[in-house]
This record gives sequence, C-alpha cells and structure tokens, in this order.
Amino acid sequence: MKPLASDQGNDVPTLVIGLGTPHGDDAVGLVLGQDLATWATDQGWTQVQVRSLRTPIGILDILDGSDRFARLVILDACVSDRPIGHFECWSWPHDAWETARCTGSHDLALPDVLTLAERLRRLPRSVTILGITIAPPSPAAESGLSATLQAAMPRLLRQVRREIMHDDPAAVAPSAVDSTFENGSRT
Amino acid sequence: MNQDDSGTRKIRVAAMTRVEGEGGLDVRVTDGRIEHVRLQIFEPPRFFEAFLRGRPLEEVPDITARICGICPVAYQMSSVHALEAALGVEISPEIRRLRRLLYCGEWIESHALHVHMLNLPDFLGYPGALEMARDFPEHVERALRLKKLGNDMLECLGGRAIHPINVAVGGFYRAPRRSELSEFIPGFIAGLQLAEEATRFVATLDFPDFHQAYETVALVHPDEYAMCEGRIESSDGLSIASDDFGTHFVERQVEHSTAMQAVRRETGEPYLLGPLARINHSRDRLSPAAKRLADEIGWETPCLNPFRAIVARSLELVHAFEEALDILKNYTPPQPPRIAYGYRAAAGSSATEAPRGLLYHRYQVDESGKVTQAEIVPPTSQNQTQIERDLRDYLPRVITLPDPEVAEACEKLVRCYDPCISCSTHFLKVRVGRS
Repeated sequence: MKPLASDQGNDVPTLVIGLGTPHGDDAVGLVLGQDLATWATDQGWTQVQVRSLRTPIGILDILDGSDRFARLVILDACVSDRPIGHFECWSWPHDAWETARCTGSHDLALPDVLTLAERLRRLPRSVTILGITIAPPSPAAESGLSATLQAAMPRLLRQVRREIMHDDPAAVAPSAVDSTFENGSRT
Repeated sequence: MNQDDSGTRKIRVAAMTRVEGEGGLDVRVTDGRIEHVRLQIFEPPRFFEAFLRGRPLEEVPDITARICGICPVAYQMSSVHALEAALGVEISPEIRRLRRLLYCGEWIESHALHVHMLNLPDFLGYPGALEMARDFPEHVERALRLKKLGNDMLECLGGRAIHPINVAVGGFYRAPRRSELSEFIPGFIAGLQLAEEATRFVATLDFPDFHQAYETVALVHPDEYAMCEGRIESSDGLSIASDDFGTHFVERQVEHSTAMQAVRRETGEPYLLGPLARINHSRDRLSPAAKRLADEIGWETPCLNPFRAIVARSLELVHAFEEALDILKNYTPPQPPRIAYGYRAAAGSSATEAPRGLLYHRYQVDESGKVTQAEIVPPTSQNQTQIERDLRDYLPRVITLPDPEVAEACEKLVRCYDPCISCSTHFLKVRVGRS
C-alpha cells in the first residue's frame, strides 16, 4: 500500500496511541487501538504503529527520538455533553484543551504532555486527538466495554481508519470508506 | 492582603501543586503571631488495613502496592518482609539482591521525578516543569531519561511499571534471565552519569538559610545503605528492631486531617524521615561514587536544612544507579525464585525505606494463611507533624510578604518533603487566616 505523507522524504509511519485503563468504557481507546492494529496487520498496511498506554506521560517516552513519526494520533475516551459513542476529532493545538488538567499530581494530563513534547521538540508535525464520548467513569466499572459502546465499535473503527488515512485515500480499502461522517464532529 | 474585620489575615491556596494527593494548609495569624499551622489532609481515608483482613496473605503485596502509583515497591517490600518475619521465611541472598535492584528502580523513578519535575522549578523560579522546559529543556530531558530507566527496571522485575505484580511472599513469581538484566547495563551506566550531573547542578542552587533541630529517623544497616533491612535509629540515640516500632512511635488522630499523624511516643515530638535523614545516618555506606560526589560538593553531615533535601535525593539517585549496576553485573538468577513456606498463626513486622522515608508494616496471620490484623504507617503521615513544625518555624521569615507569596513559600517548603498524601490516607490547599 502507498505510505502516508512522509517527513523529509522518508517513509515515516503514523504513531497511534490508545490511551485508557481496562476499566469499563475508559478502555475504548485501548480497544480501538488493538482493533486498528489487527486491521492493519490483516491488510498488510505497515505505515501505522499502534501502542497502548494507561497514562499520557508515557507518550514522552515513546517520542524519545529513537523513532521518527510524521503524525501522532491519540485515541482516548472523553466525557462530554454528547451521546455515548460520539466521535470527536481535534487537531493539536486546540483551544478546547486549554482547561483540561490532570487529577493526579504525579502524572501529567494529555495537554501538558503534548505541550511538554512540543517544547522538547519531540512532537510530530501533525497531532490529532480522537475522542470517544463515554459516561463519566465509575469506580464500580467492570472490565470490558458497555453494550452501547460495543455496538458502536464497528462504526468507531471505520471513523478512526478514515481519520488516520484521510491524507491518503488510496490506502483505504473501499469497504472502509464511508460517504458520510457518522455520528461525529471535527473541530 | 486578605484581612477580616477582627484583623485576622487569611491566605488561601486553593490547590497546592506538585505534591501527590489532596489536602490543604490552614495558617492563622493574629497580631503578627502565628496561631496555628494545620496541614489539612482531606483525601478520604482508604481503609487498606481493613481490606486486608480476611484475605490470603499471598494477596497482600499486590493489594498494598495499590496504595501508591509512585512507590508501590515500597509497600510490597515492607509487606513481604513483615509476612516473612511472621512465617519464619529466610530468603536467599540472590532473592535479597533482586529485591534491592527492584527498590533501586523505584528510588530512581521516584527521585528523578521529584528532583527535576516537582522540586527544581521552585529553585529556578518556574510554576512547574512545563514552564521550566522552555528555558531549561536539558533538566526535563534528563528527568525523562532517568525516570524511564527506573520504570523499565520496574517493568522487567515487577511485570509492569505501575503496581508491579511479580513480588511474592518468599521471593518472586518469576526471576528474570541473566540476558534480560544485562541489557540494562549500558543504560544504567549512562543513567549514573546523568545522576551525577544532576547532583552537581542541584548542589549549586540557592537554598534558604533554614535549619531545624530535627530528630532524624532512618533504617540503618551495618554493611550497606539501608533499604529493606536494618535497625530503626534516631539522631537522639534510639536504636530498635522494627518489631519495637510501636513501643517508640505512635500515630494519633487530629481533627484537621484524614491521615493519622505520627510522633515519638516518649516525647510527643515530631521526627524527620526521608533522604536527609538517611544520608545523615548512613553517609559512610553510600556507594563509592555517591560518597565521592558528597565530598566533592562539600555536603555537610548532619544536614538539617529541609530545602537541601533535593541534593540528598540526588545523591541517593547516584547511589541507586551504582548499586543497581553492581547487582546487574553480578546477577545470578535465584533458584528457586521463591522460597516455600508453611502457614502458622503468628505476627511479623518490617520497616523498609520508601523514597519518602521509613515505611512500617505489621501483620498478624492465622494458621490458614489469612490476615487477621494489618497495620501500615506510611512515611508522609510520619512526616506530617514535622512539616507543620517546619512551617510554623519558617513562616515568621515570610509572613510580612503579600499573601500569594506567603502561600508560595509554604508550598515550596512542603514540596521539599516530596509528600505523598495519597499514601498517608492518602494535596494541598493552603488557607492562612490573620487577625
């Protein structure tokens, strides 16, 4: 398959990071990342590297310079006033992230990690954050996704694929391309 | 200045940053006199001791590791040593060294984070590491490299970097192969150099001239820089086995904190734990490179200036790398990785040195291997009373400053302790009332 847009003429893949914990719908970023990796392997599409992280600070370790990436795509759960399963796409930097802060002081929130990566010149040129609305996390959450999110996963995976490949339509299998943007928004 | 009709001056910091956990600081000043200083910890109690009752003792290391995401190994080490004491388990020298290596990994990730990202911005005049990175990216880069080395070690030995799962009563569920650990050697050699560089730099910082008459308490071992074993010693002459901790130290409930506060039982006075205390007690047992560096930077022992804890912490970073390298180079996989044991009704206790200071555990188990009683005394709850004492003594130097600056000065002092409030209950909002 044709590679994605490259950096300085080299074939540099897209780095996709699924963020989340295994608890309930907070796992949606992890699950989508795994599904994307499986799909890419099945399609023989090598221009994407998928990693999983429980907390954002690990992004700094992955972007330590040992690999170069043209693009970073973050998959993460978010809480919003939209329905569960709503798909949102933000390009970094974005005003919407100014107020997002971490709840744990020994960790850094995603906006802080991305800002720090930028100041340390580790950030790829293009950064996209794909957020999936979930219900507010509960300590009582069981492992595994809720039925609502499980039902939405095929659509969400198509939306993730489309966002990752939008620079390179030729790389998208015809069945994966949808004519409309389903249940989502881009800001 | 926030002053009410009665002349009470109130300074409030809604949320203190760069400490772990949730809490506040309440300072009340009347006629220029400091009425009270209260470290208000309002993070809800977490009831870990109660969770443990009735659980199989094998679950204790994994459950207690959940108390903290920064120092889970400390909880695992204190718990397994206490349980092994109860069961009469003697671990092999190889298991002992592997445990010290794991602890070195935790000291490295915790100390690297605190020295560079949490504490250094205070000395360089930045609100945080994010802002500091713009002008001093090299310090943040160093922090990330060092922390990653520590985390990678925890992942290798513990199965994962946060809340490891490979520590067992009697040893490890799985011991790494020699080749797995050999891979760490080049990185740790580089890490040792970076830690030395960090220590030389932080030793040149400007420190407030503030010295306290601390009673320092630390674990002391005759042959090594104490981590997992040793006697509990104090600068006032106390030298006891960990079994006797409860005879000489007592936790008490205070109204303004959900964390217990510990004091010396005999005097009711606070005491100091952590890197300053450890180096004061065991400077001569630091690793050769750390000892040479302490001499090179002119480190004076005893050091009783809490602001200099950043240097002590950096020296320990050097020590942890050098000791880890020694273990890595001479590693022999323990056979077996875990010592077998039988159940018996008994009690056992242990104290180990968490990055923030001495962590005491005591367990009672029954003949079926179930926990019947558990007691955990974390370092931050022990340091809490001393933090309040330090603030009370430090405030007269800064109280004439505008409110935001007083609050900032208080935060800086508290951060020198690297408090982990989540552990102690387990952050901070500062409120100063003046009249």
